[in-house]
Amino acid sequence: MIKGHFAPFIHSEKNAPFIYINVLIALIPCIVLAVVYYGLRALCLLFLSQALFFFFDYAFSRLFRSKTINRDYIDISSVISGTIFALLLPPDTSVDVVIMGVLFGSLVIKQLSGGVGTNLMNPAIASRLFVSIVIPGKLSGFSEPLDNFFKLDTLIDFTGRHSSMGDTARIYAVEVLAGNFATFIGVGSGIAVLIGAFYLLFKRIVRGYAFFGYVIGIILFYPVLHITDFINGGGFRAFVVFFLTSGVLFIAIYALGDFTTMPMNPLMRLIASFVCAVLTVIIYEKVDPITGLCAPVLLTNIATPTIDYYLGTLTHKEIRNKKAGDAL
Amino acid sequence: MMTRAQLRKMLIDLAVMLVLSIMVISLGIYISYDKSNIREQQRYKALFGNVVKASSYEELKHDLVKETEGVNHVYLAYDREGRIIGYIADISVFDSEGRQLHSYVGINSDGSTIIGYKRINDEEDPIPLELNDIGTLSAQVMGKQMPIALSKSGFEDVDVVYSDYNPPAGLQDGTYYAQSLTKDKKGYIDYVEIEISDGRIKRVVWDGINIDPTTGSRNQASLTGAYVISGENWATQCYNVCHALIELQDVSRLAMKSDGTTEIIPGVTTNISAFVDLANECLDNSKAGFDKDQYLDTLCEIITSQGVDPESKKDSNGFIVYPFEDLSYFKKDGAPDTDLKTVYETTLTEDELTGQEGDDTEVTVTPKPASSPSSGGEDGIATDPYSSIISNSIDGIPLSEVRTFIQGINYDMGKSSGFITTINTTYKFFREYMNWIG
Repeated sequence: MIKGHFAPFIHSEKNAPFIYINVLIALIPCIVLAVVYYGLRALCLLFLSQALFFFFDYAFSRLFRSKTINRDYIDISSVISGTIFALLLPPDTSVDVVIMGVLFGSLVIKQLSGGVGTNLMNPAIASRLFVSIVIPGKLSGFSEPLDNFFKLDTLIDFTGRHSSMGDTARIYAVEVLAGNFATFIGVGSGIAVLIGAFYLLFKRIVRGYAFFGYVIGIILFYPVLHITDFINGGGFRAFVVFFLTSGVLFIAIYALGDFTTMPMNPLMRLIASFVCAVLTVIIYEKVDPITGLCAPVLLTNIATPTIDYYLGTLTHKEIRNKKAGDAL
Repeated sequence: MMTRAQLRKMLIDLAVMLVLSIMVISLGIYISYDKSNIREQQRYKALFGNVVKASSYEELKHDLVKETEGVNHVYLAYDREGRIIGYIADISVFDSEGRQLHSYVGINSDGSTIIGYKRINDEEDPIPLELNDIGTLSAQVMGKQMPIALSKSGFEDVDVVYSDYNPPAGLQDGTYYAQSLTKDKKGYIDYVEIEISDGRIKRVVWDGINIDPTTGSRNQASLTGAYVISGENWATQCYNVCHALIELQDVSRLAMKSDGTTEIIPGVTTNISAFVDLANECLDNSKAGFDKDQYLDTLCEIITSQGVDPESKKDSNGFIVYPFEDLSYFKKDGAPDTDLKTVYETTLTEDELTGQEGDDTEVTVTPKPASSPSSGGEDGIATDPYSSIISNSIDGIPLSEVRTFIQGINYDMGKSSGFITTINTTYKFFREYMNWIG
């Protein structure tokens, strides 16, 4: 009866595949941005990451949890994880980085903690931070957008390309809006991310507590930490550039919108996201951008079970076990 | 599971999002493309402006860039009309201890001559070179052809050319000099210096000194853009002319036309009549044994005879910067007579220079075999640029290809090797690239 029913569980008629497919639809602006700006290599990175995440999740669950899963169930969340992971990569990333990241995210983060709906941390975000820490030299190939649509050699350049991210202090406002500067393949345009965010909010796929908690945290705390810049002038521009181009909007909607790894209680989700935003603002300029974006998310993920425990909120696993017990 | 209605709605959502995304991103590209290009050009100008000054730059996309070890990127430099005026090679080289030198090397449009150099200073473990060292090294190669090698024998600014031509008979070894006694419209006084060794022309320098002491030489001015002529910059054309004379061994072989130009030297469009006159004067002086010191002494005496202290007319390099056009010595039917030897032998010798008349040292005029390749070592030092032994290579380049020998930093290969390898890596790329583009 309950076999094959996985988190996320929300009290609506929307089931997990419905939610996941809508999240994929919401990611389309970022995917289109990645392919238009960085060409076939971005498409290859996206497809490879999605396919590998799906394959490893599927293979591992079939091999080690064949008795507890529904064989007809297709875990679309793997495809989402693969997409988010790829969109956070520099455009000149080689395939070995993708393989390493996906292996870590799928097997270590997701499957070893029980599979879909029971993972402690967001697999895509953990994978991205993992490759950034383990092989940073291979994640510094930031070629300019619209450089060469058919360029594919970077996919097999295992020595790693080295070109800097675009200097956001020098880019024009229209470039900020369009995301037309060298950055991660799918997160440079705040407009593209916001289109996806509005889609998910409008369709009530996400309820917005985490998104708004994080965004409010950024908006309130960034000026506090950069008060001298605001007084001396230039602080507002720097804030707008940070807000639209750094990837915080992407994190707000696609990392903190994850039902599995964020607190169940709406208020606590808002607070946890706010704290995550504060941590992000504090550390972002002291570390590399990916660590600045991903580490606070993973810390929030780690704190989630404790928050749920003290609030008496049932975890997804407990809900599943409880349902299983009720059924028996 | 999903209902058919849900699926249909999702497909509609998918299509709407796709169309919306494409529209928004297309609009974004449309409104930001110009800005992006402007920003890119600003970045390039900040990076390369003092290597090769150009109106716009573009990265060269070519497999050779990736295939040539040490070459990170190559950029093309364009003028306002979109013509290529040079290249910038982004080069990283490592010494034997794994220390790095990261540089931009500016090359002229035919891929042969160094027209700019800049060290990037972003190396993790840099080759220890002071700013002065870099200045010293880059000054030695500016306007010179690649590849380069360190000359151990003390020759500076030596061009090794393997000539099949015989020089005029009677050239005496030594350094000979001639300078124009009148300034040109822009205030430059041309001079030519020729070094004769074993009866052959071995070194030729042509430049112009401005009577305004705040203005640099014509060579420097052309490299900084202060002196502009049509075609290649003056430094490059000047280099090509000097190079041609060393190769042809006789001024008449430069085939100067009545309008002062020549068609036999590639890339040279400037008027070379001043050079031809001064070079002929140098060769005449060589035949007569009237060397540079005597020439300059004569000029000093003439200036002194006008009641002017000659030291006050010398620039920091010892060149005499003095317009002689008003002096009676040089008036002959209204035209200046530049034969200083005549002045030296007649007018001045009657006064205090008589003693030098009999100072004719023994002169050996030994025609050298037509081909005189140099020897060298893989360490980048050419032990004797004029010896007849062919041996090793420099940075993997046969020594016979080396076009310029430099003194480096006090002839110290340890300090100069990174720089030399940088230039030679650039040469290796352009050798292949220029062959590729035909």
